Amino acid sequence: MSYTSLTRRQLLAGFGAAGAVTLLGACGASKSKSISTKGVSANGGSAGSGSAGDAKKITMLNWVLYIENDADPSKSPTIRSFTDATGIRVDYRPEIDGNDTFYTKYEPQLSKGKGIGADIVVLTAWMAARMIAKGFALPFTESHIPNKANLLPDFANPPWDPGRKFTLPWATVLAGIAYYPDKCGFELKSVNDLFDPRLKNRVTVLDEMRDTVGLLMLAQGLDPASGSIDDMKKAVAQIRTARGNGQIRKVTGNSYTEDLRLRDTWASIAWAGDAAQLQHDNPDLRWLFPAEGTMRSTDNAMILLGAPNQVGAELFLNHVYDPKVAGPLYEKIQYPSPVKGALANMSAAAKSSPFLNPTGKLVEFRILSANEDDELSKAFAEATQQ
Amino acid sequence: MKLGWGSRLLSVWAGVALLFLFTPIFVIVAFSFNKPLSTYNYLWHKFSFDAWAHPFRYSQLKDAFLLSLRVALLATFISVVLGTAMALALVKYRFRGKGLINTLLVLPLTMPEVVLGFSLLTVFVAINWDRGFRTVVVAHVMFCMSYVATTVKARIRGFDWRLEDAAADLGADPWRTFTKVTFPLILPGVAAAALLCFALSLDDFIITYLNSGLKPTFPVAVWTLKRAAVPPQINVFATSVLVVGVTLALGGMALQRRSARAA
Amino acid sequence: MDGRIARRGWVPYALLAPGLAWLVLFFVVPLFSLGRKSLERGGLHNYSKVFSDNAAVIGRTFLYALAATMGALVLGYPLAYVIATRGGRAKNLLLALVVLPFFTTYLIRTIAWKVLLFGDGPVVRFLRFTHVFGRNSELLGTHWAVIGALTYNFLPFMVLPIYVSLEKIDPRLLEAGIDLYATPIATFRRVTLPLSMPGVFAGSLLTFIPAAGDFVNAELLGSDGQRMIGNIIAKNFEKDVFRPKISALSFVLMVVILSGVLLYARFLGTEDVI
Repeated sequence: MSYTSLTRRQLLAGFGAAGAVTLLGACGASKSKSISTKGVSANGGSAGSGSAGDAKKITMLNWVLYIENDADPSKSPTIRSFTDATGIRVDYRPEIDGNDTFYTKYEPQLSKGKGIGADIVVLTAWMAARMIAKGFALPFTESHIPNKANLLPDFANPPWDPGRKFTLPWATVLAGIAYYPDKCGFELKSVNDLFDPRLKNRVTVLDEMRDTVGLLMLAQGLDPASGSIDDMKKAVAQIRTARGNGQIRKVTGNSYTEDLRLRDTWASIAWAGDAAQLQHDNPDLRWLFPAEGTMRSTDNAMILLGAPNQVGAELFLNHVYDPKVAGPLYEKIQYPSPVKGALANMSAAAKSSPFLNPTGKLVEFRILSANEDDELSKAFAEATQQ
Repeated sequence: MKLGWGSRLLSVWAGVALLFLFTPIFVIVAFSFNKPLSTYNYLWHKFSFDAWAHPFRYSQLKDAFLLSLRVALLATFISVVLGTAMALALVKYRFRGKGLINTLLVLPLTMPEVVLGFSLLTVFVAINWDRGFRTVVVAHVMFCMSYVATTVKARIRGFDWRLEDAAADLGADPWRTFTKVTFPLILPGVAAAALLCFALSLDDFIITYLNSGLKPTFPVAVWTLKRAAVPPQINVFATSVLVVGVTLALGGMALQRRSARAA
Repeated sequence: MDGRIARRGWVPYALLAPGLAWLVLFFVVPLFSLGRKSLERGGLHNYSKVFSDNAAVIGRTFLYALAATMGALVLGYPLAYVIATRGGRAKNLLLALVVLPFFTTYLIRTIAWKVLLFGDGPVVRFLRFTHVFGRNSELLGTHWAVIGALTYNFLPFMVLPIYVSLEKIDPRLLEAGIDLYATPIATFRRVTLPLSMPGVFAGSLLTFIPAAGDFVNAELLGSDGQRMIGNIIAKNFEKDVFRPKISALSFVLMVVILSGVLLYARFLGTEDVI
């Protein structure tokens, strides 16, 4: 055994101490645990029917930058005012990073009829549609959500959830382009500008297939709202080429905002709300509704089976659909609100914000059949993963 | 012997290597005092004690840290019990299949984490175990146990086991023999292994990432939070652990020196 | 006395059973499960597909891991040597310094590199200022950043075993060496280096294995052009459709690393590999 035992011992010397450190940390940290349970008694009755869980708490899974003060949601005014009014705490976790990822991670639990420990999840339209079709969604108790009447008529009857019995839109997602004019050296106008040689290795695109493929289809003069799978694959081929020759730096999920923030990415297919929030820190960043059009979809809040506190979840959605709450919330996150009257509750500056009042052509990606989805997902993955 | 030119160069080079090791540590410590303009603590803006004054501002980090501690404690306990038992069997007894078991113990250490983590995931999926506390602990025990067994094995090799026989001859029952003779003998090795295991579990990212459920451990929480923010509180956590670690290491060294002098 | 011997018969097995069961259930079985999964939806064809689709990534993974191992050796050997031969009373302190950075979480250290290396960050600015770099040169999203960070993150695993093997060398051997070969360099080459080889081997393995399986460094500091096998696995493991190919890829990674380990084992004898 010779040297190796000694090696371990040396490692121990170091790591061992590190271990003891955290042990001590534990003693200190656990004392300060029970601080944040406030507002215990107010309005307890209405939320009392959650069978499995704590009636005074709901858990919500959402995408990043979908609430004020996203990095520490407990400080979000939307959540605070809800907790003050109902006594229900919101364990808000901005950790959904992809619809597919979410599906494969939790589908096994859901198909066993078990909950995933969350009350509200937010999924993009096509995935929300799949959840409903699979029977994983719980219908709303309409009486708990009177504010549902505030839903803009535009969103009231999607073919996959007529009458919005299972879902309420959380946000309208606009996929366009964010870029730094000073870094790029020119003003971008069209999706095709992403393929300008001056931007070599400085472009990122989203791994949310429908947004990236849709924009590239628009750039090629194809229609994502009605195009065939073969049309869609033409856009996929373009991505493959652009990755191959180093034009595209990265195909990423939500983490694209990091490199964009650091200005190592100069131009990116981006979501409007992200770009708006990034502009706070990087005023040089510019948002573009591409000449060819912008991809639009909705991210939808829904309650999945096994939710520990369905009533609490419905009360929270009702809260968000109050225009007085929605106004400031959507002004802050800079996504167009699906709530009627929200705009009226925003500042004058917000009312004219391009992010809240999109211009140009807005296109929605066609709902694919399961087979089509498989085929295109596979082609997209092969073009983007290797 | 006088140090020549090349020899001096060698020392400088070693210094460079040491500096390299510490470069990011300086950054981590310094940026724990930053008050960044944005939610990302990437650019120096202003000196501030803000993050130190409010280390638990990000409740998810605190929760994750506590979860990490719980996972590490449980995983350490299980791996130490199982691993020490294996080490005792392998050192004290002769039996068939020993070589095979030794190899089996070493194998997980030669496997990249991403393979360990993913292969474990395929099993959890197949047997319908939802990912969560249980799967993370199972995974941590799996890789920790090998470390414990090899460490304890190395430490207790060459001990004089006849002491046990002596105890038995003096009429001690097996349990008494274990608690009064065997355990004190192996304790230093076991303690070292436990600390190593605890540290490994606490710091593990890759295997945990592949097998954790809704509630993240600390490293996974940092990874998740990174999409929305990299607050200086992360640096505060890291720096605190570092400071306590240094203190302990220095204390340990002083103790060692004193006992060495006493001996 | 009879009872004792009989007990010795089953005691070791009783001691081993729980741990062994754990290892079998959660290490051996998963590997079989991985193997079976890798043959789903396509059988052996999955492997040829994995090779043809990921040839570049596989090659890059091993080049990076190799480069990081070399880097760690070049930095680590002199460091270990200086500590072992000139550390004097400060030996323990210096060793503690080597391990100290690793008290902070791996992920946070890597984020710190990002803070240092990004396009408008201190390192690149300095390189631009000194005209080593052009206006648009960068470090993030290059091989250098990823290899450098891999080297960094596993450096102590190189230093410690080398230190241990150097430390064990009998000083009298060195004196004899000096008498025999006259120059320090020749003594180093003929005496010190051969005697420290076990440490070099162990350190190389301890660096190479985790480096080859890593994805954090490439994800945080690289672009798509720096993806490693680990990145492909981490990116796709959630999607059931991809699991067979991911499994095949994992197997490839594992087999190549294992053959490397076994090769070393032949040099050194199995007990001593880790």
